[in-house]
Amino acid sequence: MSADVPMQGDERDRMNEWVRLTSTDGYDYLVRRKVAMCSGTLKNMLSSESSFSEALSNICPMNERGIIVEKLSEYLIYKSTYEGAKKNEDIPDFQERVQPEISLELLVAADYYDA
Amino acid sequence: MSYDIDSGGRRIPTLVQYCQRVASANVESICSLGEGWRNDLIRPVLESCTPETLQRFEDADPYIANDTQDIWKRLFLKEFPIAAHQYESNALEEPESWRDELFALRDREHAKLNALSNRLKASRQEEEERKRESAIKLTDKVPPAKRSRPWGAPSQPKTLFQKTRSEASRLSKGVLGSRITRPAFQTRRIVPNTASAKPPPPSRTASSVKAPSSAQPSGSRVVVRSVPVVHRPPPPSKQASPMLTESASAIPTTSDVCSIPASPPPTASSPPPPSSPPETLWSPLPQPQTQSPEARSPPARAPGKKNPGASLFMPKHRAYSQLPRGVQSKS
Repeated sequence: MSADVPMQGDERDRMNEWVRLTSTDGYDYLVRRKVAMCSGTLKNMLSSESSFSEALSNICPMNERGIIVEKLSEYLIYKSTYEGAKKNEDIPDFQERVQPEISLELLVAADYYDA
Repeated sequence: MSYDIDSGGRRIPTLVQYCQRVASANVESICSLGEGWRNDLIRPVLESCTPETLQRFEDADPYIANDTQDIWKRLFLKEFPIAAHQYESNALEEPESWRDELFALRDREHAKLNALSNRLKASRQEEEERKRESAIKLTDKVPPAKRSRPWGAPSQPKTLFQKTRSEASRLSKGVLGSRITRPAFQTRRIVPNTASAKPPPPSRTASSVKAPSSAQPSGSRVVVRSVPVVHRPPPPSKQASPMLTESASAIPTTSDVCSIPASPPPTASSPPPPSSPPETLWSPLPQPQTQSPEARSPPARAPGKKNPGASLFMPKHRAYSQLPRGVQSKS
């Protein structure tokens, strides 16, 4: 998403589309496409240029537990919200929102999804 | 890519970094890492472990130990800087396993500490034992009384009155070790003289030879019949002879015996009335003179010589004397 400087209206509309992220234990999370694009892996999965099925259906089945998907989505939203912030602005720290109990598992997932 | 570089945006740490930070901060709570960790991912977590934690991880998942040599070396250096310095200066060869080296050195240090502490404990216990020996213990038994001075010696210096009284009682009782020894002819003789038998305290009986040491020792003395004692007068004091003759003639009756001691001797130097007669009696002892015919007079005279008796009294010992130092006492 960061590389798309000349944003067409269609593109923008498309970016506002909802994308569904599914987990292994039945939880689904809806995020905007532009949010999902913060994740390198998801971006590839959803890229319109690819021929993955996800690109057509806007559904990304993630092989993670619900909690992990949720935390990942949370981070993606945080990232998409503040990556354009100016230097003077105060950004809330995300570290507090990472529970130690899931930190290792989230680490693995974060690495996989390149978040 | 660690950071997202935007045209005007901020660098936000990646989720990977956040997770690494959180995991490192709570590494003590991690039981084990599990399998399949990529080294670069788990590295920050391992680096923030203590030796115990790292050992736990390596024991649970041995593959982790593959890349932890430098971590162990760093831990060893932190714990034993002096020993590590030896290795750095190539005095010793670097051990194959820093981890083994660390734990071995730790055990040695602990052993040394234990030995020292045991030694300290033992010496402290010994000292406590010694203290306990000499400490004050509670008991219901009375410890044997210590006699710092010879038996019978007074615990406090006696007053003059006490001294004279004790001397008199000692004399009459014939206490062992008494300095006053009577010659044979001075043994007690009971004279059938009721007057003498009646000492100032009327309650006393004539037969009582020994009177309990009391405030009226004169009674016993009188009974004991220090005959010669009566004749003392002349040598003791200057006034002795004239007064003696006077008293001899006086021969007060039994009743007078009581009264006479009571009357305070006018010229008495110091001894109290009751004790003056007795003093008169025993003070002249050293120069005994037996006179049976005077058996009666002595006791009678003793009381009669109240006044002269008082003046006659000369302390045996210089210490008792209240005369000025220069005057020689009779004794």
